[in-house]
Amino acid sequence: MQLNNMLKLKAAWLSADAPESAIVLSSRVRLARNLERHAFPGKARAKDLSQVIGEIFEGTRKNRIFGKAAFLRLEDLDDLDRGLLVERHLISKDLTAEPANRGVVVGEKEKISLMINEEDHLRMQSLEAGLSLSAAWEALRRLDDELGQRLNFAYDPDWGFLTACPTNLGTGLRASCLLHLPALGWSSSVNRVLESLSRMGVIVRGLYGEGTRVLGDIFQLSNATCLGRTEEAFIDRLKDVVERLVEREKEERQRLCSGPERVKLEDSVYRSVGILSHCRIITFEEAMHHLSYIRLGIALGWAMPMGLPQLNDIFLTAQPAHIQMAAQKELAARERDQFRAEKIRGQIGA
Amino acid sequence: MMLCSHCRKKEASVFFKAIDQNQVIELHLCGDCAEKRGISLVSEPSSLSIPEILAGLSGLGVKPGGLKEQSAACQACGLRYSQFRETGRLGCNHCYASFRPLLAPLVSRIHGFPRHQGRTYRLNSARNLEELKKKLKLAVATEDFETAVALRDQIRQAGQSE
Ligand SMILES: [Zn+2]
Ligand SMILES: [Zn+2]
Repeated sequence: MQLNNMLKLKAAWLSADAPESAIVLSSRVRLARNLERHAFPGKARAKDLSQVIGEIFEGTRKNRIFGKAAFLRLEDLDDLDRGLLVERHLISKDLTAEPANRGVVVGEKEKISLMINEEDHLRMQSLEAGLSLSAAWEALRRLDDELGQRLNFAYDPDWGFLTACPTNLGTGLRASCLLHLPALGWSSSVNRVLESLSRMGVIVRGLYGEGTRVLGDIFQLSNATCLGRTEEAFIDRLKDVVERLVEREKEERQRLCSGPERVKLEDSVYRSVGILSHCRIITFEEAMHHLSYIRLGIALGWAMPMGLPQLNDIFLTAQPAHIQMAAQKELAARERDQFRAEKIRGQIGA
Repeated sequence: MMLCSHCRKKEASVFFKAIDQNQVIELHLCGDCAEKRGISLVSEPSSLSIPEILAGLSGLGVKPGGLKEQSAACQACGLRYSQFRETGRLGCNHCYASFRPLLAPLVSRIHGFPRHQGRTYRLNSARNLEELKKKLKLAVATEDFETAVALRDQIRQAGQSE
């Protein structure tokens, strides 16, 4: 458990003081790059992979963007540490599957990070709070310029940056936003709205709970393709779709609050406050469900026992690896649910 | 009762759904697996499956010219094209040159465009400029004027940034 200091640090993307933060949780942009002289990670020998980490660590250490960065090799970390990095959106679950010769660089406040030897040699990511795609892209563009001078990226004038999978070819860019859409989910028009988006070059994903409600009402929107337009064009198109969706959600919230369904909504929101304030055992899934209602209550300006920054914090720290890291030991599922309930009650101050 | 598509042991209670182009992909997970997956909600969208697109392409009668699909292999890393068909992953950056005629229709199909328009990288390096000029010659010879125009722009751009 080397990374338990991370629990005390606030990730910048959890800030509640960002554009549209009542609806948009975070904005992320990533670029996929590969080094010219090595085979892609899936085909490379262990020696090559180790050299790739070395070259990328070396190339980034000198960079002032990474002045206070942590340089980590996954094989040096235990399962909980790796889980923590996944839950903080710094690495993918795939990277942890084969920890030997995989690396990660975490920049200050976790805004910029690098993932080394996943499907591609290098995945650079920029993470910001709220709807801040342009800011996230600007930071990443600068980083790409600097690293591109120190490292030799595989590039083809016709096909752009070369990646292990042709779906990432070209710009190597994937931009995404996490949106909280409880009102659209409530009125169950969400499926229709989202399906119409898929025709606009945007992929939508959500976690569906029992029945038809999306778990936590959280959706991820991202660009579906990444070759044939400029980086800015892909980002602007996503931004456009996100902005439209934010408007739809606001309208729907307004409609719910001024109509006959308001009392039903109030009932659900305040029940969620009651459950999180008094529960003794709670699964991550159930916690997500209630946190979603409370998030909506906060956004509507109702009297809630916490503000948006606290809620975002609980949202992050209620996840399994964070729970176990806080407990300072590995816990079985049941113990985890118990500890989670206790921790959330403490955070609410109930 | 529907079994969890991840562990195949417990009953599925969480339905994960991704809308991808015109396709809806569904995953059914039990509570435990969903708790683990709850995190991966924010990871990369599992993108289009290459083997499926390739199957679709041959169904459409798109025939790549020049290369024999069965025997094609990358000289740099040894990956055979048939392996790429199965996994959807290329072995190294030279695979793109090795399988260029086979990959071109696939790239256009995935992205809806045949050519990169984003950031350029070291186009002013002598080697890249040489390559561009060679390609321009070829494009003119084969009367592919659309490509020729794009290449001419790139060469001009490369000249300016020197
Ligand atoms: Zn399962
Ligand atoms: Zn190869």
